[in-house]
Amino acid sequence: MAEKPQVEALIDRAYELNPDYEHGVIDQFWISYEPARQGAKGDPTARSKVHFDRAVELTNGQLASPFVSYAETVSVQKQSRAEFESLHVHAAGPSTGRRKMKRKILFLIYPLVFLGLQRSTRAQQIVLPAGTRLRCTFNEPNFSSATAEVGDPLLCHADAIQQFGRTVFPRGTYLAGHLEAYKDPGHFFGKGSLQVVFDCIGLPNTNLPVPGKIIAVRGYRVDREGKIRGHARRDALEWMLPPLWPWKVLMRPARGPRPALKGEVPVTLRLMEDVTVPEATASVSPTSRRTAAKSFTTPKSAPLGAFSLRYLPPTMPALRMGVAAPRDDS
Amino acid sequence: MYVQQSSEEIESEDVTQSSVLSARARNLYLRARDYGLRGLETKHRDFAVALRKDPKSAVRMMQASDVPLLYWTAVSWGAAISCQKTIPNWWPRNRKLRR
Repeated sequence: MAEKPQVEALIDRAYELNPDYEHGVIDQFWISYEPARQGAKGDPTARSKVHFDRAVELTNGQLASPFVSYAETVSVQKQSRAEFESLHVHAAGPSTGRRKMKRKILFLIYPLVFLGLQRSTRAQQIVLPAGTRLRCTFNEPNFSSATAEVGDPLLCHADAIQQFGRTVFPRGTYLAGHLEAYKDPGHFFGKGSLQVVFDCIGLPNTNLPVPGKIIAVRGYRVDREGKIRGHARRDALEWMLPPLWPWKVLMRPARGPRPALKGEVPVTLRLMEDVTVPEATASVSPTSRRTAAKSFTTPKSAPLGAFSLRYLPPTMPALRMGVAAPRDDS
Repeated sequence: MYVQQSSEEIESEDVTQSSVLSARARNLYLRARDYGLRGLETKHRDFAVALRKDPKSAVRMMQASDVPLLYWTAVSWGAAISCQKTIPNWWPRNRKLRR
């Protein structure tokens, strides 16, 4: 997101030099972008409305894109289904009675440019409270103190989490961590340990800090500090079988087995502090996004709960199809 | 944008292919962004460098005739950001633009 100031500077300057450029395309850009704009004063919804009104005025209401952009951005954020449907109906044309066919052609011509930028701090957020258990799975060939150094990174693929019916962590979410410390097992006494610390949760649009502690690892004990303690239970079982005792006695001077993460190892960690997940990141499931993309032709099926900023650029060829010089057919 | 839409449509069925398409869409957006920056560079030398250092003052040198390039550069850049925001360095791959 470090490049957003550059994007905003470019579009700001374009708007300053020619606010009417291509019948208000910059206003249409701002309709979708305002909620994601950083550091802007005032209500982003009100700012989007100003740009929406201006875009409609500049296009004489002949372009669908301002209506769709406003519906997908502001109406969804306000959770106003009536306004959402009204705007889509208006965009589709029957209520205006103007240039229906051209607007339909525009729907066919304009696929989406997605500006799924993060919503403003005013946007809804999902809070994962402290104490929430996250489950993830390491997939390492052999991660132990024999094969890794302190500081070596590793990834853990997070399981999906739902809260109040919304997907908090979409598919593909991962937890990034590193080996913080380890202790090799002793020759005669002392078990080995691994301490893995997670640094962040990787989400499609952002990274979040993860103040968590490992509380369970399959096949190993975990102490209260979150250290993975060896040995595996297999060692204790071997001592329970008398025929193996000579072998165990002979092997006693050797170091005990190191705790190792081999193959797919499920891990559970507990959040120690609240984690706030932006809803734009959290709730947009692939299915809902696909449905939203189809909502231009089937507005009633568009999911209001799933939020995604969308921007429909009136491209040059389309404008030259006759919409650039709108006139009243009635 | 055709590529990105396809990526989102197949995401629930084929995550791998969706990721490939998403990465391709991002690269296409970045290529468009680079074209825009290169176009602005032809009229305003060292604009890309100035934009990186101080965006607000860098764009002051733009004139009304630059509005199309400004607009399309910003839109393609914004779309690239929307594709994936965790890529650390998106500055132009063209060494001349990166100076």
